[in-house]
Amino acid sequence: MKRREFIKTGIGAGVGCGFVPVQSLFAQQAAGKTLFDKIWEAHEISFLGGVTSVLHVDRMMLPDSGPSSIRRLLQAGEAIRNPELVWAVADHQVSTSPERYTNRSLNLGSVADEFPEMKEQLAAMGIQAFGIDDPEQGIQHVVGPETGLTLPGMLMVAGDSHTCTHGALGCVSWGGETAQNVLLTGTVIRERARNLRVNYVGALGPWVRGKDMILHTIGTLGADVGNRCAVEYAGPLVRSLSVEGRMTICNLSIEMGAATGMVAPDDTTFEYVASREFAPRGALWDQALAYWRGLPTDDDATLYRDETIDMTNVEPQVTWGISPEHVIGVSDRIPSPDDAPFEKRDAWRRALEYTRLTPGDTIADTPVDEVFIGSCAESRIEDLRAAAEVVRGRQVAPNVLAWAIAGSRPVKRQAEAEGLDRIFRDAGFDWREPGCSKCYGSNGELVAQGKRSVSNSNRNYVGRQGIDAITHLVSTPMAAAAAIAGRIVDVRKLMAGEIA
Amino acid sequence: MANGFSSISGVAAPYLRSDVMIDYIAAPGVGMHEHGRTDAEPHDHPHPEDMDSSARRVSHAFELERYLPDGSENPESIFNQAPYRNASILLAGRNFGIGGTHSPAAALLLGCGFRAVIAAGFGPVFHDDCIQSGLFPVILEGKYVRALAASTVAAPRLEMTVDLELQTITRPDSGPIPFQMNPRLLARFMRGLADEDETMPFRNEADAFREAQQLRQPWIYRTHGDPR
Repeated sequence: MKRREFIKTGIGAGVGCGFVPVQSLFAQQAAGKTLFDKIWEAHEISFLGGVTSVLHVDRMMLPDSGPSSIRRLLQAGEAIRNPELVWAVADHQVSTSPERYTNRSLNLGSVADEFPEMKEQLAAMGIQAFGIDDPEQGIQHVVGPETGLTLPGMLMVAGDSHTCTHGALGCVSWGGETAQNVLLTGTVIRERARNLRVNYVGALGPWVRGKDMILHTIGTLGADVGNRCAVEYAGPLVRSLSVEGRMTICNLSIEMGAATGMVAPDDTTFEYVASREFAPRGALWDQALAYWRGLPTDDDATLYRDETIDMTNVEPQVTWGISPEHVIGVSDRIPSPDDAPFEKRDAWRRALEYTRLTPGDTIADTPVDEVFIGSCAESRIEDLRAAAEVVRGRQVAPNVLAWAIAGSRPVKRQAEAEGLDRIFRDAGFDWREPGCSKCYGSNGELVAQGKRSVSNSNRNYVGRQGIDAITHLVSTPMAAAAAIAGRIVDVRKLMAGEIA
Repeated sequence: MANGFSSISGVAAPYLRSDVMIDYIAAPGVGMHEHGRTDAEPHDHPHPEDMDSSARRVSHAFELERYLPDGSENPESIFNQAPYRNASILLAGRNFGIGGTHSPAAALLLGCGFRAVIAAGFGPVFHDDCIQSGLFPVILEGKYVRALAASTVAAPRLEMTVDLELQTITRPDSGPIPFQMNPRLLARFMRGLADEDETMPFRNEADAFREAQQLRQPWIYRTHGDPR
């Protein structure tokens, strides 16, 4: 494919919001390339001028409605383009009750039946579909990487916002695409994002993890820092993280308004990917690996923006408001709207009104009604291990409803093999079946009206987890600690025996 | 996708709060739970022209302020006040629809009868959703939005016109205000195109790309673990 020159009118730039520096895009053509640029250009079918291109899709990921979207198109006499690049999993509308396999009506819509009904037809087309009866069913952003359907270097799209999670493997992935377009054409039409790099330096203190890194980043840089950007997370701290930890960071990229988030693939990635069910083997593996090793951002690549986040002395993070940027360390006091930047004062006031908190109070000791451990942000095996370490030998506080949900059935089996389910159950947690559940509530599982939830998920918006429900976003071990204490506490203090 | 249109005229509803979050426009758990809306996909909502009047009523944009806890309409919400109840243009403040989430918000606004949103700025993801859903997003400097809002409040029943061809916003009581728009997106609205209408013409190129990619990167075309 031949790359055409950018048309210098800047058409296509500046449509969205604010300022799009066309100049920096020109500069990138001459210099080295970023991880994002390399993958974007490798998928460009046609460049339409400005910053807009038609791109080839390597993986289209469909949610619960996937089988019916496909059925609708087939009934209309349409053909599915590149069906072997399409896969589907039931996650948003499935019940997480252990009864869901026998009492199918617990699952919303007809999702429980559509997957088995369509299974053979889909398989014949080359479409992999995971219904609730499938041993690999789970949340799509857990299942993709876990099965090797997500691979480095890919362009992967879906409808779901948190598709950016998959970027942790060194691919480009975004949500907001319509099933109709991708199923019909195997392509997307998009405006190219700018390159924002976030470098992490310093060291992580005890019980500080990927979730705290990204929440602290959003708090520091703002929930709109990623506008029209592809964010690459880099630096020694990211390199030292597992792929699971990187997924948590990439998962919240959309919470800073970014088009996608990614981590350059390295040996940690390749070790994770190797031997996954759908990963290449043998000679194909060698060929893929050689390609993947060329993907990381070149030293002389031009970036739109380069930020450094020092994690030294950063505490476990807790949100106090209704945006992920409303975040503080667990020892901090709830800020006053008077301390907010002028243009945010009104938003802070509304946030505090909603969360019923008082400026100057500590966020710690805020009483908790419900605790949710699950979601595509953090429900992988190492997240559950960290939570179990906190929960082990302790009891959930009276009057706290605590749920623990593995991100997928393989994660659940692994957790059960390690005895983690027993630890959660013995402590008084509900140990449930995989699905999106209370993070979003589109299966009807919601935080009770007006109740206060501590959640390891990714969104604390008004009404996100339920009517008038208040959400405090934290890391998984912090959520576990809140369940035990019945209030927001510093997991480090709980583990040190400083909290009864 | 909408039918193409070259202009929209109608009553405008002034709602100039800044930083309105996308989940405030379409509160996810709330609508789904209370009203059995079970689709998690943002783009599956019917277009207003395909909805009958009863369907219009069950659309849930701004549900958190349009309805009181007992389910009745909140008379203080601007969306429940005549003449804004039938508004087809929404005047919004800075950072309208921030929050980064792909959600049914744009489709729900369409469901309330809105065809265009004029704002001092949009959340970028919401802006994309507007374009995909067929809700026309216009970015104007804040002072112009405020001026339009002021004249709307003074004479609410006077219709405002968003003219896509001339790229202007006019009211009978004020001169035209020009706006800028990416020509591709403008054409898309005027012709009523969806993504697939824009990508379909590249079918042959897409086929050629696929063939080349299969040779270059065969591992993408799953060779292991074919569907069980």
